[in-house]
Amino acid sequence: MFLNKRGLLPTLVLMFTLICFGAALFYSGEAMDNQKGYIGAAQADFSNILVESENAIIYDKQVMEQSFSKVMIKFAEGGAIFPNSQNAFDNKRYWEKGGIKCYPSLDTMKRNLADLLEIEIIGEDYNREIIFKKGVGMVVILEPIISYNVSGSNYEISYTPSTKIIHESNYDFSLFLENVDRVKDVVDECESDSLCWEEKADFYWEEDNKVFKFELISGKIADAFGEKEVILGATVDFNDINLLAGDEFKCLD
Amino acid sequence: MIFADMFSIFFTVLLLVGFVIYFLAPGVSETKQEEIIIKESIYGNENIFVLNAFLNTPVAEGKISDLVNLWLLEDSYEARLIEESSGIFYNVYGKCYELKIGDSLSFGDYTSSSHFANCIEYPNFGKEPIKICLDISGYDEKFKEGKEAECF
Repeated sequence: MFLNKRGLLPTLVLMFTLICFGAALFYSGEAMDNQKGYIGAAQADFSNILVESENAIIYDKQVMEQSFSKVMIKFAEGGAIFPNSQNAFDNKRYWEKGGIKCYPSLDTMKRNLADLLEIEIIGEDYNREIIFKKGVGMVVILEPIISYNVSGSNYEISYTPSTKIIHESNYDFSLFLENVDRVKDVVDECESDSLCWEEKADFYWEEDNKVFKFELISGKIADAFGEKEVILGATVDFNDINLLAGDEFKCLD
Repeated sequence: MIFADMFSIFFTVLLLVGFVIYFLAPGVSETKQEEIIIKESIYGNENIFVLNAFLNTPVAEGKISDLVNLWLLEDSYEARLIEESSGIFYNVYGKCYELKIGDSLSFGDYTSSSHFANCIEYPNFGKEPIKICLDISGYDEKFKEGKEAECF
């Protein structure tokens, strides 16, 4: 035996002391907090922000479902562009004024629609991508960019959801472009000659002092609530811009 | 000498027992309390994903969410919504669940004393959002006891 009777007792006491001291440290309040932080509270917090983000995504997805058609109709009524004058004729947007042309292209329409969705529906929490499928429909993809953060005494969690909101619509966006071209053709050929407009324009229009307001039926948009007509409306003003009178105009698309 | 050793052991043990009791007792009770909170939280959180799956379940009108939207617009869709929703949940939970949609729709007839209902906010066409809440704790309690058959 390498331990004699005299050495055995202090050794046992020492071992017992060390075990008890270790156990005391392990279960001390601070140690327990650390354990809770790593095996419980942090996971619970993460679970909670996961649910918070899932809630927000479910909510925004349903807002898209409920409001997308309404926003598309509003977008069309606004000429597929943003307001470029405070004095827009009958709330229509100018595609051309005083020789300055603002006819929307596919890219500007995509950008403007994405911006309108941000304003009307989803706020700034998502990156927005719009894909037009000619003759088929369109897809709006919303990718969350918002971060959900939570922190405890010894952890910090930042979570950005990876779930994308994908909204599909059967609306054929190419009808917008076709109708923009129809207006362009009439404007190029007729300018402010209303007699020519009467002959060439096969869509609804009205004129007031060289300001032409027009509406073009651009198909229908369908959702769970039924089908609604989409009417593209805009204005062309052939009057000169009177800068001296403070008349300002610029394309804001 | 033996007395000195005995005294040393006794004193050390006394100190350490006091030390352990002082730190260990509150730690354990806090842990138990914390565990309960965590379990409740995570348990309820699971329901969110069940509700999401429920809303995306295909029905004749499109998805359940479309049916909810139609019901929000027209009360006449109430019967369809109850029919489809009950069809989905009854197959899994029998009568041991409770689903509340908005203020006026509630189905599944389980009334448990320990509810873990979890709710999501649901838009209402620009009006005050409604809540959709699901409680399947009754089924889970029965399941743990091996008595889930009582739900059907």
